[in-house]
Amino acid sequence: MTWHGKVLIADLSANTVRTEPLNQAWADEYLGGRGLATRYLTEMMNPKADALSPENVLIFATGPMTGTMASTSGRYCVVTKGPLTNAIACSNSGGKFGAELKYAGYDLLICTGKAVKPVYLLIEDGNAQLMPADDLWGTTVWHTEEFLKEKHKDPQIKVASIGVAGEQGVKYACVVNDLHRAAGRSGVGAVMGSKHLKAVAVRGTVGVPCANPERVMAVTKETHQLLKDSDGRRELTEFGTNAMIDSMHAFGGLPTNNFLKMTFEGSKNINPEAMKTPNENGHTNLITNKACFGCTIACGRIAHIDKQHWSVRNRENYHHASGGLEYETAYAFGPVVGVDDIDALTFAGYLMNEHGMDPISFGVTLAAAMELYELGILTNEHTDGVPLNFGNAEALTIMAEKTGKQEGFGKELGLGSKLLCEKYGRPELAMVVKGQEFAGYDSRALQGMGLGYATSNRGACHLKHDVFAEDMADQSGDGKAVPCKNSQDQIAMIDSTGLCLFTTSAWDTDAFQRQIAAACGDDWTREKLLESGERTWNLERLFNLHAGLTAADDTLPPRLLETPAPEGVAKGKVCELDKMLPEYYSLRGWTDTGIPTQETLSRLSLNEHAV
Amino acid sequence: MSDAHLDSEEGSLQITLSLGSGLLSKVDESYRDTSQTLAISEGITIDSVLNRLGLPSNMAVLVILNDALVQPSQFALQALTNGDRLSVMPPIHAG
Amino acid sequence: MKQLILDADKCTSCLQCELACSLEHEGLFAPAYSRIKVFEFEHGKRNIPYTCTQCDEAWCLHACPTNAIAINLELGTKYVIEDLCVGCKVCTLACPYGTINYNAKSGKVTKCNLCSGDPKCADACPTGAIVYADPQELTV
Ligand code: SF4
Repeated sequence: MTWHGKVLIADLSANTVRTEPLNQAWADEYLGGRGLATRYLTEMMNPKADALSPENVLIFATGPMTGTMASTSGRYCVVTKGPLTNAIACSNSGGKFGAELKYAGYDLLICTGKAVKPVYLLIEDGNAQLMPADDLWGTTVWHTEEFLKEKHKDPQIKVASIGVAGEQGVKYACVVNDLHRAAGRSGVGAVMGSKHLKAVAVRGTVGVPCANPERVMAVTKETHQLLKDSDGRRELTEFGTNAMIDSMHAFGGLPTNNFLKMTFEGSKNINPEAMKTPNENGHTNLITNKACFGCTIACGRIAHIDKQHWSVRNRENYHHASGGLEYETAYAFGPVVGVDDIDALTFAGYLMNEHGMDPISFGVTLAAAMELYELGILTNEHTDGVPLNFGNAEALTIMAEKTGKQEGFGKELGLGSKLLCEKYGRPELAMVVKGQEFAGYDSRALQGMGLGYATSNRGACHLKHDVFAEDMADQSGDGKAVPCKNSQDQIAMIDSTGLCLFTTSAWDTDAFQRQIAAACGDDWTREKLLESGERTWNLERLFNLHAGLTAADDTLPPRLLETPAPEGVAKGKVCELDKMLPEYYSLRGWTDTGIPTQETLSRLSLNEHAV
Repeated sequence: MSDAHLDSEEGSLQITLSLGSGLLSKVDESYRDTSQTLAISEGITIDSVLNRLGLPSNMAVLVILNDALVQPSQFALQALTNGDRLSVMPPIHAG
Repeated sequence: MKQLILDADKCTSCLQCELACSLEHEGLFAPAYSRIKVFEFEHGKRNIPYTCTQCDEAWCLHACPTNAIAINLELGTKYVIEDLCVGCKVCTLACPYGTINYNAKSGKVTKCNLCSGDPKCADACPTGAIVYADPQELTV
């Protein structure tokens, strides 16, 4: 068994920490990570509670595979109620923090209440204590991490923290760990800020026990080899996720200028080839690739900004290397705002990590503001004199910084697209589902993606389903409900293991099963794993229903449902959600108003959670 | 691939070819550009272009011809004509 | 003689080597106890794997008052004889590289012994940043 059987609970209101045994019955139903944390969340809070109130509960969850030698074993999840969506939030991150938390001897860290004054949580194996963070409050993620390592004289400490964005409640503030990995979406960083919890610093030397090392190693070797041999993996290692940008541009599914267009000529200036081609000053954006803990893929990019670029010319503190462009950041600072200046994009990425914000939500919110500006609804008076035209690279970096520091118009951008567009009377311009901004795929060209966006429990998200193959094969809504539902369940399972989704380029459900069975026991069959994923999906849904969401929230903005695609392979098409959604509900065993039926609840042992 | 061999395949028609960054290291050196004009002869199919680029025959690629997706089963059947815009991209998956 | 050849340019800081090392020598996944360490610089721009070089003139060996560090002539390793080690830590002070370390769990020191000729880190490394070979036989 690779669980520790221990949960660390930090009661911020009482300023105390305590350890409780892990509820093994729940671990047996939900595995770990995303699923198990969801089970704890439903138990510990009223879903109707305000996301930024002390009643919200913030859970950092590792999985049974976290910290083992399985490839990509560095994942952890942050599960809470999200302020961006008022729905369940479940943000997954890599880096090294998750494994370190597990090595300290805990499966889950649960934070409740709200500290009177800013604190950080220091965990050194069995010792955990809340420490004053007055001198850290108001500082950046990068400063916080460096400061804590210095203060505790241990460079091996791993830190997850928030910046000013999280402290001041930016709706899409994230939790950043290891300088440039993030539990990015739905505003989990704002929840941390609302609790006055600046950081979690952890050093773990307990390790993760391995009951059956020979078997675990045999399976590990075999699954490492599968990854090694896979073309998809090779592409991720060589080009990172940004290899996608050329394909989406050619396909005509690359959201451009707040989804007014679906191709972006400038993508050639920000694609993987551009990242490794020297510019006129001889500067090359990309330096190397980098792995998260335990990962044999290493899709992460390490880049640097040209010192002579206008954005950082006199700002030496940005001349160092850091996390570079991935597909979603390239999309969110590129096509969707119409910018193709690779250094400006890279700088915007730095600012997101330094101040702790989700690039996708920031970029799409800025895109909405740009459309409002071009329509004349926003003017220079609103925007601190910065012309917010599509394609203005300077506007991108200035607004990223203003939002991160919560200054001027950055305060309004911190609201997210939904509230911003509502405020200015054009709610239909917000490219969101349940308040959360879209990732870089237009659902008029990728229909299954549209269904996934509409039904994702955390609002628009590209990572909770995988219908790419079907969406490539045909541009209608036909036959998309089945792969959408099945992949949602499979991914809910993967997110509960502590492993990374990107392994699916080489691993099928059976490959996961072999590893989990070796680590956790043979009762984890393929059926049990998939059922556990389905249970998690339904419990998330039930949380949202209890929180007050309804089937009416499973929808897309009118631009995707009514305005025909202007270009690309799907030219003339709209997203056929009306066709896919009823089929999806019935496959799920939900009523036509999207509520799990009695039968479904019984089948998944979820009766006590009925609405 | 020798130049002579290349010449023998070239023709009087021109198409615009876009290649995804992810494929540049997989095509023959002379085609390593994300955007280029290619001279072809009448009746050449997508298959033969992929071949000419030097892409392994079993490699999964996404092919878009003048804003329409081409299914792999059509690669050997779909002929190209003057002025066509052909995009050859890495397949799309989770990112 | 074969040795660990470490190539920082290839290292991605995945820590598979530390995982393999701790499993081999401690029976659990605990990079904190790994004999090989990977150091990260400048937000991950440089990642440098680092372990005992098995110095010819091993200062740890000379410093040990109980002769607990011995030489394996066949492999060229300097290894710790656990029964003789009293945990005085003099060797950790003598080592200029910091690659022999005190293990609070056992009360003895630990260092790389090349897994007695089958180093698990090299086996686990996915990038070829750790290779176990005789440098003289490697054609550059
Ligand atoms: S296993 Fe190889 S690539 Fe990974 S950290 Fe160790 S030396 Fe670096």
